Amino acid sequence: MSFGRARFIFGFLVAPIVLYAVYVLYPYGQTAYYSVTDFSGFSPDYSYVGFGNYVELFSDDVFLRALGHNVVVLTVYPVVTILLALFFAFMLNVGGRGDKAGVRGVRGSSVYKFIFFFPQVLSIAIVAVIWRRVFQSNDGGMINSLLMKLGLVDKDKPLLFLAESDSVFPPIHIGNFVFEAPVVLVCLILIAIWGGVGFYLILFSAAMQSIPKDIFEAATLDGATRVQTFFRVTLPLLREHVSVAWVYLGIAALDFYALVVGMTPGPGGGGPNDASQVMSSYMMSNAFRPARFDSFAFACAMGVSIAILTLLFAAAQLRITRSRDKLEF
Amino acid sequence: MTVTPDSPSELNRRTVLRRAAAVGLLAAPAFSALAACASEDGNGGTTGEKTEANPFGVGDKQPLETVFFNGGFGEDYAKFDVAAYEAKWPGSKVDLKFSKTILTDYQPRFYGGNPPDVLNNSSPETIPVGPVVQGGQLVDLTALLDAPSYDDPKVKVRDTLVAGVVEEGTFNGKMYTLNYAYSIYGHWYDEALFQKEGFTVPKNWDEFATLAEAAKKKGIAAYTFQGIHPWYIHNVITEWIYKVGGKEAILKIDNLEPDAWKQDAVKVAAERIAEMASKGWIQAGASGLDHTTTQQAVLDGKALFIWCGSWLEGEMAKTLPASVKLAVAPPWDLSSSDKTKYGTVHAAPGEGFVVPTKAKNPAGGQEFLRMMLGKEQARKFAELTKSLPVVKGAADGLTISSALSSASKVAAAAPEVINWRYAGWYVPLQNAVFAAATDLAAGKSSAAAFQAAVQKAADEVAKDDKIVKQKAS
Repeated sequence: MSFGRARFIFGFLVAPIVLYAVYVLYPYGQTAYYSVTDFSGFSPDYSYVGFGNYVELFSDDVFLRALGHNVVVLTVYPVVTILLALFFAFMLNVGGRGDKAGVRGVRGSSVYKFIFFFPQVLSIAIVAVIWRRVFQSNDGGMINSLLMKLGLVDKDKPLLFLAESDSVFPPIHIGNFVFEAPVVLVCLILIAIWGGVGFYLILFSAAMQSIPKDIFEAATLDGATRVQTFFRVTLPLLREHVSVAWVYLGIAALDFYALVVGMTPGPGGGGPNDASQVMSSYMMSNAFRPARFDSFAFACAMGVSIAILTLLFAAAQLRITRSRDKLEF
Repeated sequence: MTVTPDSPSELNRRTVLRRAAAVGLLAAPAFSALAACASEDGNGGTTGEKTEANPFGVGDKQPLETVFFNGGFGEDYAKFDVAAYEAKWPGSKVDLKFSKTILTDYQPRFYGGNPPDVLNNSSPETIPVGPVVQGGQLVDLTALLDAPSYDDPKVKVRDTLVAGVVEEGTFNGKMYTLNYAYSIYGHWYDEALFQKEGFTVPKNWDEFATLAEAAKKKGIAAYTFQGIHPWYIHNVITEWIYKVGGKEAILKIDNLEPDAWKQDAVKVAAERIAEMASKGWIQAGASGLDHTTTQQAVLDGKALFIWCGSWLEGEMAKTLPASVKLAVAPPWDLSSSDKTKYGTVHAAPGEGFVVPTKAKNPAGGQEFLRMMLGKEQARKFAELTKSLPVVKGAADGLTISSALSSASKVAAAAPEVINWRYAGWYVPLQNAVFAAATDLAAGKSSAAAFQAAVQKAADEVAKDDKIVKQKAS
């Protein structure tokens, strides 16, 4: 490589690298550093305290509950979203009636694509306003008013939805760790699925369209049903896309911050009674509603822990779903 | 603490990232700024001579940077004060800034060691006083209290203030925050509706119970609360604890005494809320509704009482029907042996102002506050904001609004004023009361469960040596 060319490449790269270093890497480093101090976020005087913040983190009841909630979201949200997105994508692309020649989606598939993708273009603030109306806990709420008209819900005892801390199954205690699914968390997962399916539908749709039609036609000629086509042809060919989707959704599930803060009761969200607290929302309330003088450092320790958990998850996920042999077409 | 509830919809990822960025990123250039500042003069080099008329020694033509909260009180009173200061100190250019998010905007300036000279440290995003005092970053305002007042050099500033201002602004035994507005809290109701229906305002629990049943027959809920913003219901229960147990009971709570939450007063107050919930007197589903929805329910005649501060009328002005006449009632007797008399009302100074030590012109900052406590400025505040300032007699003879007159009347007649400190001092304890009181009012819990949950949190706070303890008296 000639010197001139290196300079040319360097010229293009220096700006993004500096930006990345200053605005991404440096704050990461700072957070990691603060997490082993007693930094208050206000005073430039602080001292090194070792890993005490991390030790306390794993004896903090609320953090463990929040971690449990993240685990619930992580088990439910990606699976349901991917299954729904796959099903819809299949129906829209190859699920059309088999009475005519060729492979096509169901009638009106482009309209459906638009409808499913629509939530993706809404900002989270608008999503929060809409769904708060839907879940509103009196006769002004969409679901409640409907159920009241049908006589299924007593007017004086509306369903609380986002203000309901009861778990949908009895909480399971494993040591300090609680595994539960409060109604409010389930509501949030439903909203997240509603918001997420569209994006993955488009992702899977694009992937399906890149699969040559003759593979599907061959399957149809061999007498495969739609279900067989899906499991024997489509799914194996989409393996990589599903794997990527899983990682994205997993990261979103370990975050889940915006929905919790935007929709749930209590200062900074997470209510009622920490029933919808997730790691990220608890981190932010520690950083900005400090209980102790070193709460900011404690929040930094939480941030680092979330980052480590997320990296571990992504690494494990990619390893498990790594495709053994890539099919070229 | 002044109150605008944390509104979930306003907090989105963007504001949060901005906050994080403000804290994390701006820290880098801040180091150099800090070093520069420290090498100059940490205390901001005052050049004027200290005299009776100039007790802090404000220098000639020293610029002043003031930051006001841009919220319910508006911008006009700040502009008035700034103009007055510039008139008194000719040539001292005052930089007037407004912010809706004090914490986000000014935390980096504290960290960087270049804070403004006067900061209106108001909610919903308040800079927590504890950590800032810990770092020695706020000026002890005792000198301001002992300075001659703006209008009469023979009277100290301290003596022009209503009771409770010094206590409310005190942390670690010194006053660091000057709370400027005086809010009156209580149960608000629509007087017009009461007249129409022939209801009377209850003075004790039996009267309230009778009223609640009568209202229920007409399809009106006797009570509602600002569900998803638990700050409100935590005030109701703490007020009631004071009502039943008196100051003595609250002091035990404020001072984290063992079993403070197991007292009978706490039990009675919690039982009353549980009773309201179990008898269906509370608006259905209130625990999942926000403050405007529940407050509107009272304006629309769907509920009789809601606890709120004297800003209620201003907050609901846009949707307040002309026929509604808001009035406030003090807490009714909750048992036959309440330690405080009927009419005892909750009032507290709020809307804090601080002067940072590392400001360039802290003398000017204190002088500015001294001027704000002058008669003319205080009166103008009352006129412009329809709220009371903490200066004695500031609004005498002013007719501002019927709701404020009602509140002032109730406050003037009060044999005793309710206030407490634990909520501002101990965030985890306040959080525990938030959650447990909301559960009570939602009918999901019992008095015993409330007491146990909050006592547990209080014990943890008492044990935690990373939480700086305060002493109430």
